[in-house]
Amino acid sequence: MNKFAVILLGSVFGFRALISFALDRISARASSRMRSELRSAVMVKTLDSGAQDAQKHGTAGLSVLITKGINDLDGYFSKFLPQLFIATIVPMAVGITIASQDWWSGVIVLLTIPLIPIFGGLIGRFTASAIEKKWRTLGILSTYFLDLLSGLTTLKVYGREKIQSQKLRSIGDTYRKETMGVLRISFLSALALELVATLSVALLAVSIGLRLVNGSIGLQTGLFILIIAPEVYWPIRQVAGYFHAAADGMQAFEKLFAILDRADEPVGKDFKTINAITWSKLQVEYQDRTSVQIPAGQIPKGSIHFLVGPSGSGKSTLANILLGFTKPSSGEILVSTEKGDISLSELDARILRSQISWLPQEPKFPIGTVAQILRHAKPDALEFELVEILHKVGLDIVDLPNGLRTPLGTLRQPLSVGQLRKIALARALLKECQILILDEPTASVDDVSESVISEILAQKAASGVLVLLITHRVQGISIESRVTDMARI
Amino acid sequence: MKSLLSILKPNWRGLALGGLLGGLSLGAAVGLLAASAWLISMAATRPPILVLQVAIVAVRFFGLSRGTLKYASRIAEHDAALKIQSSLRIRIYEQISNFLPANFVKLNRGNLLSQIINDVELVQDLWLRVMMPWINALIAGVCGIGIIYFLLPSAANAISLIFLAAIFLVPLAASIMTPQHNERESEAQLFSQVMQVAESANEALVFNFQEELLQDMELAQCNIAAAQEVSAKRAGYASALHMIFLGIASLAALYFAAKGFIDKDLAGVNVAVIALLPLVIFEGVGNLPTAFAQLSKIVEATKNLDPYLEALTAGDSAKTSMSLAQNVTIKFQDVNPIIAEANCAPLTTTVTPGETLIIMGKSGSGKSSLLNSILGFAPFTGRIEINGEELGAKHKDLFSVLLQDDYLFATSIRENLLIGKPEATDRELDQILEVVELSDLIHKLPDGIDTHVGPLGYNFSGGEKQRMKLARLLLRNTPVFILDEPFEFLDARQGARIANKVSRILATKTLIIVSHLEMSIPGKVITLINAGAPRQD
Repeated sequence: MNKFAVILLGSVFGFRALISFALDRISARASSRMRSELRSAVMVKTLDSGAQDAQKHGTAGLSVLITKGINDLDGYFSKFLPQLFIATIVPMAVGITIASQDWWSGVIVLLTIPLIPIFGGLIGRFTASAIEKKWRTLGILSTYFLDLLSGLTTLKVYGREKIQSQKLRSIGDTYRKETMGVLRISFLSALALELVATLSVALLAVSIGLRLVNGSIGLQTGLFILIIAPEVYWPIRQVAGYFHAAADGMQAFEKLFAILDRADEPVGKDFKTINAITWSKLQVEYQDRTSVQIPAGQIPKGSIHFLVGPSGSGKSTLANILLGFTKPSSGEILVSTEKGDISLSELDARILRSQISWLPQEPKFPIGTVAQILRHAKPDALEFELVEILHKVGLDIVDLPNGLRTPLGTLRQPLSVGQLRKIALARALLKECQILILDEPTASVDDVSESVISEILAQKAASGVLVLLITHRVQGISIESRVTDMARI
Repeated sequence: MKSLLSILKPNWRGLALGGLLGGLSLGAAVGLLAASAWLISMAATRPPILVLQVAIVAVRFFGLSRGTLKYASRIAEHDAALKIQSSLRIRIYEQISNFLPANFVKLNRGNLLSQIINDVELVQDLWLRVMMPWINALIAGVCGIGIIYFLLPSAANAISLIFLAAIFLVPLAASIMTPQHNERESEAQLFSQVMQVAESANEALVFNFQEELLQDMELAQCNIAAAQEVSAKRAGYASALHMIFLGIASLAALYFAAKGFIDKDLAGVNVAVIALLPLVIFEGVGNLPTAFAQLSKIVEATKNLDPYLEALTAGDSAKTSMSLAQNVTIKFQDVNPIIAEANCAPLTTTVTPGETLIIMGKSGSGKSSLLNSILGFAPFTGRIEINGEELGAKHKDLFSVLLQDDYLFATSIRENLLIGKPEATDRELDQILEVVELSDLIHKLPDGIDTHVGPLGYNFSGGEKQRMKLARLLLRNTPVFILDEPFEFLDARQGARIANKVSRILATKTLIIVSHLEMSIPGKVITLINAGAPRQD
């Protein structure tokens, strides 16, 4: 035996081992880094625009998109992209090698190679819509799960938790059918490409076989060509295979880029002090809601403005407009600052928000302790200050299971709804601001705390804060106040 | 692992079919390579064309059946795996819903959701990406080595030894390095963080805590990246090792084929067959490291899921039997919920049918805890009697409860109301919406009662949602009604109007109302005061 050939063969295997080690490591590491950068970029962007994306995709939908959606891009980054590169080099190199041994086989390779991308492209166009459909079902499935789990207590209290598993089954079935639909197409396309490749190799084999029989080609050449011929088609076939694995991720790409490509909030006019807010009659169109109208009004410095009306009249809308979360379709808000009256839409939204404190109707907290959450409003607040403000809104520190270190921000906090609202109220009152917006501050607050809160608000107003109080009952308050009654429209 | 596997009922038929078809496909690949190597070698000896005919047919047959069988097996496998996945999801939901909400409190929503969706998908992989590659690799190995054995037994022994070494050592080498960070745990953590961000994004803008949210997320991302780095290293080592074993086997096959040819044990046309067969025999080994990594991921996933599943299965799943009592008297004797925040003196009172007990007190005074005690969600000292019997799980069906954090599902108003009474007619629904003064609004909506509630549906206000929940509750027909802050978010006039209607509708029932505001309806009022004795008016 030729020792040299054996050593050469051995070292080729060794070299190949080294190369595949490097390929696996590098592509996986690059993919991991790219996904993590993409995730950070998307998060920064989505946080910049408040709850906009969460409203569009649903909370669960957005979370699935950012975690699982981005993870699914692994197939794209670590497999598809490197393979695309391989597919442009390897078939050419192997094809040239084949042609150098036997030019006739080279011609066959040249003629058959384009068949695979052509077929692949045709099939790819065919699958795109099916994959989009699957992604949508998965979104529905995860939103449905979250909904079901969030409402489990209610279901149990009503004794209806069993019925839901049937519904779960039917949604799961739909998901399976749609996934199978997508898989069937992608497996079929893999089969088609494999058959094309097999046929191409067979063409080569027939021509070599015939020439072997009539002796115009040697066994060594024939065998050599037949062994390496599949390597011409394999990388391109693999691209098609990885394309389907990556296509799952590609759907996420579109949504992610919709978030990334969104224009930043424009930098608006700078200001220092706010003296008053005046608005003309405002109208806001909701997607499928009869539009909300807010009568004209004004909050001058040193007064409290009540926004009252029956539930459902759109009281919270004014708060959303002032915070920049909603844009009115008609009407204008003028903010009078030290630089004169400026339209709300021209002011810098960031600077404006830094001057607003807010109690939302349904407060939400990030993961953190009571102290951490209150210090978002006033980072340098001392502990006794926090205890004091909580006491003022009617929440005694001893009523909290772990005092200021009680954790918040999970689905089922150990606190009651009333206590959570009070913490949110305390947070709103702690923040140094020029505009204070409170949405139903006295819901789940008893009469004693209610009068204490009224007193605090009167002090705030007296010290120059513009107070907007959204409520369903007007409290007697010891300071000049105005009322906009939504019911009068 | 045990509890997950115990609730996992694999679809054996689908999996067996998939495995069989997959094995046949690999067998066809082995046959294809052997037949074509023989064909070429034979052709080189320039035999009459008829001799080659059989081999040509064999090559065509194997070539076509390899692809077709692979297609069929993938379809069968995936369908079976998805069926397993769907039934697993349902079973986990059923487990969770079987135990008391008190245990559910401990579960973090983001984690739970992420775990159910991702872990359930991983379990599908247990069959597809862990079991199947092993089965397939073994079948390909057995077929290929079988052919070698038939042609040249001495080569078969050596190659099977190398093959066995490869299928054990390749995955083993991959598993030597264990990740320091649990990737799945970090992923679940990231999921709940993203969820939290999505929920509190508006507040983050106003109170400026975006940076903090982003930092927390970066940390989880770093952990994930570290774990991925380790698995990348593993995958690299494993595929290098696979190549090395393939090299050894190829060299060995060459050596034996050459020796056999020289010793006249092997016909010349079969040399190429033996020399090339290792390429297909070891093809399956390449997938084993991934399969092994997947297995360790699944083990991690089950480790994460296990405590939940155990907590779930340990919960109280007592069957409740519908009690037929129509008139219920509830007697409280020295009842005091065991909970840190509430520190009130024990409660002793009785409520009879047609009577209303109004429990008042500021928030945090233990009103909700007392309510949870009645519902069996929270432990308490003392004794609660239902018609003279001690309160137990079987009494659950006697109560209709309006919880403070009652939930409206992201579906139509109709579906939400039907949870209260599945057999309710449209007329009944209309009437009850009239009572809570929602009728006019809902009639004005384009979709009427089929309008969706929730983030993607109509933007109902807090007060409207509260009245909808009340309507859902009033559809029920049970002897006891318990309402926790029923008129929250309603203005005083509307609250009083609806309270009067509710009190008329429930006139014959045993009614308990918890509120922090004065009620305009007659009833026995008890005020809870923290750290003091309840005062009876």
